[in-house]
Amino acid sequence: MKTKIHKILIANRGEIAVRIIRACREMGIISVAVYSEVDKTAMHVREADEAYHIGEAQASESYLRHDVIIDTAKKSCCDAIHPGYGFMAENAEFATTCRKEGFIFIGPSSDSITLLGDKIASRKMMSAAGVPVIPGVDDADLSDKQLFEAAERIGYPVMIKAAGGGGGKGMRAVQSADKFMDSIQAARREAQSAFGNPTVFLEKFLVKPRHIEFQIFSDQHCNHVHLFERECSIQRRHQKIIEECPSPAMNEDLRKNMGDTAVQVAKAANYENAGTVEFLLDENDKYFFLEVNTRIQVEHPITEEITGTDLVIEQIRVASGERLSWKQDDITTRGHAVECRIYAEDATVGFLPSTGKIHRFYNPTGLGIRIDSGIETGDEVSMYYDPILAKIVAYGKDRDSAIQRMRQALTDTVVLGVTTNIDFMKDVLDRKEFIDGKLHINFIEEYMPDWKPAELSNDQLNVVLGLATIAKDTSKQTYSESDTRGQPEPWQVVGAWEIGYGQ
Amino acid sequence: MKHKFMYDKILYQISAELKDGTNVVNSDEGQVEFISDAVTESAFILNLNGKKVKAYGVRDGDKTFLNIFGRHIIIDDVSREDGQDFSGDRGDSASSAVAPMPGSVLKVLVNVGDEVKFDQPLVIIEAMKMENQVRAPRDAIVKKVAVEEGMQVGSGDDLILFEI
Repeated sequence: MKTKIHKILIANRGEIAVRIIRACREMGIISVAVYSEVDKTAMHVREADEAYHIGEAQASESYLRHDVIIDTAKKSCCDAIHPGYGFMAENAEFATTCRKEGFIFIGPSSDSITLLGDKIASRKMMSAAGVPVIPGVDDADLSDKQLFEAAERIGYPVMIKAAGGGGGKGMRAVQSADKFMDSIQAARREAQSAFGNPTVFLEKFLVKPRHIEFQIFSDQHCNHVHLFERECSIQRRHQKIIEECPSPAMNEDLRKNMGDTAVQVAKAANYENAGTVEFLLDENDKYFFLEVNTRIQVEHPITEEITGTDLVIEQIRVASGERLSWKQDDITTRGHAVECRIYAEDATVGFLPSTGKIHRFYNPTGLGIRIDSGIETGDEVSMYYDPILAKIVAYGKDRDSAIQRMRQALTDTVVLGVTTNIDFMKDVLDRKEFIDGKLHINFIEEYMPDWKPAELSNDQLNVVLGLATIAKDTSKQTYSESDTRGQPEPWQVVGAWEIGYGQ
Repeated sequence: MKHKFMYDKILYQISAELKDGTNVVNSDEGQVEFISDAVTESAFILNLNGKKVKAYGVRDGDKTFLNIFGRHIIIDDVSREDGQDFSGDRGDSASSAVAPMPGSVLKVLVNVGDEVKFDQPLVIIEAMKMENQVRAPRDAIVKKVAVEEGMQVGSGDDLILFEI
């Protein structure tokens, strides 16, 4: 059954919403944005063809409101809903409701989401299908005391993980028995608040593994392919900040084996649409299934860069019933791509999120540079949502040239108004271990635990302080100056106005 | 003109003036001179001893956000708070534990009268779905718990007050 999609509601915000809107525009599909109180003038609202207010700033009162989002989709006559990543992207109930109400949900079936979203059930199923998993304990209803005993059996260090989802939420590495109880309670609380489910399980903590994931894609006609790997070992707080592909750890045999396993996972889960099979790879090239993310991934652009694909457009095509654009043998890679995620956070104080107004945002540009951004000059970074601001992707003919371009791109990126991780990431790229491709998921803790920016010379310091006396207070301006984009954008001069209401 | 700036937790007192189109900056670190051409309100080209340096800067109240020498820098203007002891709220003599960022109070781990040790977790704050522990800046006795669970707090708000 082929259903042509004419109008898509994007149940998300920030850079991914903007990314999806652009794909819609290319395909001639009308895009509908939704926004919370604080996002009234956010970039995704400005970019979309239509935009509707859906509630208060707290995500639970807006971006997580199934009912309001479905109502908005009905009211605006959409035929499909794209969840992006985060929020309701991996919420089976939402996917079910969308479909029951007659909308195409751009993502996998609710059954696949339920199965793969339950990290315990998916672990068991994959293990049964012959996919290697990390040694651990995966009974769903164990008490804290039983888990404590299990941890003793597995042997420290152990990893506590949330059954309800990934992304570092509800995840705790425990080094010794005395820390176990505190960690498990914190993990349960975090899991409850992030996924509405306090269930956790245990895995043996692997020492210095790499995070390698495979992009998978499936259509409604039982075709399953993978689009090779991404290495995402550079993480802080268990969340990725720098990703690249191909992985410097891969050889052809390993790539073939892991790719085959990823496709096997897609088949076993009866998968449909875009997904990511995550693995840990240990120092002996042994790999273990971690989880499947049943959505478009933050770091999808690097795969697009080296495979010459558009994964969001493919998502929409496949969701409308079309066959995959490629067979496995059609998919090849060329060159190397690196992504750096710009977060509003302070790397000198444990990567604490920072908030404020973006007084100036200067994009890098140039050959091989791509920016997927959710902010522009004048935007606010609030405390309510994930503090990702933009992603910079650098493409080069090989790893060295991609990294070199990224280094320059980060230098050219200027964000004034909030603290960001830009300078920190530049130092990551300059580390010898990074340049040598010796990556593992504890890279930052091990090599850069108390990172501080390099000290300024006395002369530099005096120039900086002198410049601070010259810089103008432009924060009270109602629209930003023309230097960032040539001339004021229409929304900046119009001021507060109602967008897309009524109809 | 004299200014007091905080950068990276250190206080600097400087004097800066414009002499024949040249900025002259004096501080304990020495003296520098540079010429600044404003390209726009927030973009500058500096001439530093014949060397061209590109810079960006905007001010928002007491904070100045700069990008120069390939890095981002935030300078706090503390000239207004003349005479205040800046170390008053840190380290050995801290009178309170403050919220490091805006968020909601998830858990309060201490009660009035508790003796707390340096680095002991006092309050758990949730921001952007992550838990963050606020720890004791010194050994102290809890005088007052200024927050309760579920409360929204702003950056710098007092959470726990200590006996002095």
